Amino acid sequence: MSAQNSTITHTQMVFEEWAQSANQFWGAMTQSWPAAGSTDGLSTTLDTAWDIYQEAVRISAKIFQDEFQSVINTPKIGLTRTYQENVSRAVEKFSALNAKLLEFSQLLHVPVKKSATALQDNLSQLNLEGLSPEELKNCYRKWLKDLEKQYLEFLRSPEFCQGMGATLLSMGEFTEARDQIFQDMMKMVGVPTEKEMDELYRDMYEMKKRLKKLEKMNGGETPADQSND
Amino acid sequence: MQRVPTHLGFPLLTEMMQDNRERVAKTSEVMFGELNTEIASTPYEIVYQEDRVKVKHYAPRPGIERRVETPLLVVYALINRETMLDLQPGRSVVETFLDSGMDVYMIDWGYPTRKDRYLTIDDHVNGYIDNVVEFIRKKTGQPKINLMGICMGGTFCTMYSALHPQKIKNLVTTVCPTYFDTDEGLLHVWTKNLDPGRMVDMFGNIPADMMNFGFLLLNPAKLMIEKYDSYFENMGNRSFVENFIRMEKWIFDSPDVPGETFRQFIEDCYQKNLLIQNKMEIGGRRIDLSHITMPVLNIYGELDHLVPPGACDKLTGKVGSRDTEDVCLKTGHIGIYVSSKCQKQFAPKIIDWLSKRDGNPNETKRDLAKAA
Repeated sequence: MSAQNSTITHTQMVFEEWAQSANQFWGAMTQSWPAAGSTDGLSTTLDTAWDIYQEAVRISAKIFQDEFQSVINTPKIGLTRTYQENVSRAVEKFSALNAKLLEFSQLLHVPVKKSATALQDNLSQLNLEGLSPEELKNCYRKWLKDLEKQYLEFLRSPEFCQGMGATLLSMGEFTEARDQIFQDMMKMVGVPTEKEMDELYRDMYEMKKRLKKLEKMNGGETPADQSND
Repeated sequence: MQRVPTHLGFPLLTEMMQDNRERVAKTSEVMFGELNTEIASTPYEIVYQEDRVKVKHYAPRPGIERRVETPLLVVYALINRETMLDLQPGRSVVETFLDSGMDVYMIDWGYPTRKDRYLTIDDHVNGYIDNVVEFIRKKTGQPKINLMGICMGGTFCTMYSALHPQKIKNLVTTVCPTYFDTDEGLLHVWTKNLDPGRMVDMFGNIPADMMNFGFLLLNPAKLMIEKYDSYFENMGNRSFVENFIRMEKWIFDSPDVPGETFRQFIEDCYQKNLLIQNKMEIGGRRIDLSHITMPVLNIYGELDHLVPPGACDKLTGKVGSRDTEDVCLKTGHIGIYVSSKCQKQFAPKIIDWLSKRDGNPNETKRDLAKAA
């Protein structure tokens, strides 16, 4: 009963934190609308919204780590313990992947932020009263060129390279964990698993190689002898 | 908080929309009308097949004087498809070759499936390519053939020519990476941080979508924003739209890369740079570039961000042949084949170069007439 209450309390806490983040996000968006209509211009809520989104995902990752991870990592018992472990591992890797994907998207956002700042400076220097569509287009093109330059510099940085490597690794780990669950399911219904097929492919590959080698040694027909004439 | 002044935005937008009514009408006409976006339309025949690998034969056009008698085998990379060499009429390397009377064969690597994950570089080079070369030699009765490789296909051709020089008359490498210890290109920087073995263990074959996303990341501003911006600006132009869609069809038509091939290519080439050092081994045989004794033409693009000049220009200094030529064109990785400007430089240069090394009596007469 106390365990049940504890679970309910935890679920409430998670829901409350999520609701808080969503409320902040919505509040920031709606507050900006009156500002958008004013002659002061549109406040870029993008940054605020992006920051709040990041915060929301960070909070859920933290909640997962603090509240759920320990539950998921409790030792499994019983006949189905292996399957339980596989599911736990997949959930854990999925959470890790989401966190890594967020970090990666943050990295990709860095050059956008830098080039947007430069665009702001550029626009603030122009006399916007008499700006023609062509001049606006030029500003846009200049921003694109700057964005390209920022990306070309940033994408070769150690920070990005390591982030990309970590994301790929995380993606692969989740894929492995997820595929393990599918394989367990396929085994139950008698369908050959991917691992079993890989072993078969390996055997086929080795046999084909040996066969081709023997054909060449014995002067038999090789693939090069085929002709459509 | 950042602010962008936009109080002029709406009036300007209205003005632009009024001016663009005609453009909108043209765009509708183009987008909802018939578009010719077919690629690889030059007729060919499949003359060879082994597993997923096929060979296309573009027969020499009758009635055209053959400037090059020796058949040419074109080997494309495992990434993307060989259809790029025949993208559209008027921008087709294959067409240009056929217009000179050449006998052209091209390998179609097909679409690897899970069962191909164990295929190595050795299987591609000493297996498939060697079998195809043997097939062409038997079919045409020629003791040697001309070999042309593109990008990774060029790397394979370099390896093949070093291991089987007796079968190759002339070697042409185009945008071909042979030297990998450079930071000029982003791919070279990124692959140093990759664990290809782990990736192959996790994915089997390397997924095409992952490769495509990686290539888009090489220049996101240009390839994901500017490109489509230009498309939306020119949607009323039928010719532009057709060319654009053809390129889109080709660029996202990607096969997966066989796992073990990917593993060795990244580890031995990108990370250890073994090829140019004559230390690379495939199938237990070491590749020694000094065994490349046939003439070598090496073409690359000055603006190539995928395979920068620094990755291509060291090959001719390492081969054993004394008849070598480097040609650097002011273009990028793809532009070298499809840009209208390069159509007049790229394929004609190859034809000219091959014809001078063909031992073709017609060509000798032509040279003598020119000299006179």
